[in-house]
Amino acid sequence: MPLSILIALFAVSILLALFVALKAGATRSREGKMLAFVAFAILPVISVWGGFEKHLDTATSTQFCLSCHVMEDYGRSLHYDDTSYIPAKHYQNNFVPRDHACYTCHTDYAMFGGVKAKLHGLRHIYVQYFGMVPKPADIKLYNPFPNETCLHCHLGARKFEEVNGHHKQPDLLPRIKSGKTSCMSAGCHDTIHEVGDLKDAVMWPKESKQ
Amino acid sequence: MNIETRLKRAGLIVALGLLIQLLSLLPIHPLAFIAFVSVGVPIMAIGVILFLLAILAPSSESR
Repeated sequence: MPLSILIALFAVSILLALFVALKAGATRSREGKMLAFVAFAILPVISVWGGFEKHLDTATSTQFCLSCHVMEDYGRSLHYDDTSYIPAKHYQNNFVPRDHACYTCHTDYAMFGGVKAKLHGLRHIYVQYFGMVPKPADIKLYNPFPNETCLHCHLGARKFEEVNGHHKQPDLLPRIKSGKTSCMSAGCHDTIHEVGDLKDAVMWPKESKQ
Repeated sequence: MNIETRLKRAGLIVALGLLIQLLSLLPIHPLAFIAFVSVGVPIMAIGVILFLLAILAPSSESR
C-alpha cells in the first residue's frame, strides 16, 4: 500500500474515532452504533494491518539497514571503485535492487528466511541500545554465507555455468551447487565488504566517499 | 460511568494509539517499528477492548 494512501487511511481513522468519541450521544441510534463499531474496531484494525505491512516493507530497504551508525561503513563499502568487491559489484551494476541491496543478499530464500531476518533485526536493535556494539570491522555473520543465496539469482545463468573459473576442476560446479564448496572460498569470491579498506579506497561515484 | 463516557474514553485512546502509529510511519529507523509495535498498537488495542467492554457490559445507569 503506498505511504500516501496509508497516511490518508490513518488520518480518516483518527478523525472518525475523535468524531465519534466527542459526539458519543450519536451512538444511541442504530446507525450511530454501527458508525462507532467502524470507527473503534474496523478501521483501526485495517490501519494496523496496513501499518505493520508498511513497516515490514520499510525494514527491507537499504536506507533502513544503514540508519544505524554501525552499518554506515558497510553502506560506504557498496561504493568501492573496484569490481573485486562483491557487494560493490552487485550494487553498482544493479545486480541487486539498490534500494533493497542489504536485504537481497542477507536474507535466505527458504520458507522462514524473512522471519529469521526480522528476528535477527530485533536482536540488532537490542544490542544497539542495551549491549556492546562491536566495531564495524568486527561484525560477523551468524552463519557462513550460504551458496543458496548466490544461486537464487546465478543458478542457470550462462555466465555462472560456463565461466572458466567454475570448471577449474571437473567437480567444482556440482560442489558449488550442492554447497560443499563456498562461493566465498579463498581465491574465489572472497573479497566482500572489507570495511577496513575504506580509509584509502577510491569510491564510485567520487562524491560517495563523504 | 455511563456508556457515552466509556465510548468517549475508548475513542480517545484509540485515536491516540492510531496517532502514534501514524507518526511511526514517517521516519525510516528501527525505533519507529518498535514504537509502532510496542506503543501504538497496545494503546490502540486497549481502546478497542474498552470499546467492546462498553458496548457489551451493562452500564451503571442500567443497573
